[in-house]
Amino acid sequence: MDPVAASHLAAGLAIGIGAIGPGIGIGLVGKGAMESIGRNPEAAGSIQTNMILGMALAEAVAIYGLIIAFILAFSK
Amino acid sequence: MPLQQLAQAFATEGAPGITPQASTGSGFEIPPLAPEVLFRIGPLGVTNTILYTYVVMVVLVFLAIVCTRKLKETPVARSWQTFAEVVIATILNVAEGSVGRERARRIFPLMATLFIFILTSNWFSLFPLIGPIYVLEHGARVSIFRAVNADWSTTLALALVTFVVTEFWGLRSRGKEHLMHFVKPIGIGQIELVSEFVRVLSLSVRLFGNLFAGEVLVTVMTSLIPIGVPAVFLLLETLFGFIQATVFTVLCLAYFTLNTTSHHMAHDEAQNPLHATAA
Repeated sequence: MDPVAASHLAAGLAIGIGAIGPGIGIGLVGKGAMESIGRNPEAAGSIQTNMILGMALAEAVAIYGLIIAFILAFSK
Repeated sequence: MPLQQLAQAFATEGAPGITPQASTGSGFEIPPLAPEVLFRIGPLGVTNTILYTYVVMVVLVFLAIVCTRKLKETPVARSWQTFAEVVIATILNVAEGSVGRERARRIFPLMATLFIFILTSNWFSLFPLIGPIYVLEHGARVSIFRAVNADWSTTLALALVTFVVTEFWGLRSRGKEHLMHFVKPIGIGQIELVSEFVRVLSLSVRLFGNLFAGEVLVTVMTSLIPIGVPAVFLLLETLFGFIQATVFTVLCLAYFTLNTTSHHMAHDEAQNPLHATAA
């Protein structure tokens, strides 16, 4: 296979497969936050802040995959 | 070979971006991974992100001067001093909530600097006018301004500073225990050591990836539907800029906490956070 085509295919796979795990992870963080707010609506503000933090950390892993995809797409 | 290709992708000399609409030459080019060098001072190249960093710095210094003129004990309700106090107090509360009053003062300057700098740089990257102001270099258009954190060098610098500061406080507060932590449990200690260094990478790549991907997203969306839709994505970028500043700051605090919590006292501290002595 032509190397340029291979690197473009790899870029697509990198972000495609690499976003599965973080997608599930962010969903789980959201689920935990929703359940906690349901149980304890008073702490909603604090839970929301920590939820955003947890989501940002989980999303970082997807960003690593995205960076690899960019590097593959941009290299000659 | 792989390292060569990585260096190639981040090469600053003559690296054109991928054009989403190559046939029409519409001028919407995805910015390259590395910032473009505008001119050289000796061996150092001044890139457009460095230039924009100076703009951000000038604005922050000006803001600091305005906020600290004629300080009063009880500030007037709508003054700049109140604004500054709100920002500082919020960050200080986050720090104190995590490590207690005494230790918070040690990491607070770094935390506040990181937060204010990263937030300002992220939000400044959304100005619409930083794209069209360009110079011509070797026949290609090079914008003289570019988002500060969309440059891995900037975020790597921030992450390295965070690493050095947290390691310094770890050594100073835990001393020998900090070093033995990486040696004692064979296997786990070495993994902990690797994870210390990986923190630099993860901090820098998280911020860089978010900002760079945001730039690419806004560019691509603007090239598809120039009216209305870019506003939505700029709003998204505003939110993400704020979140990433928060995440970087809170992670700095978390790493400081981890590095300065002595495991001898950890049990007692867990029972009663008020017993958190200045370790």
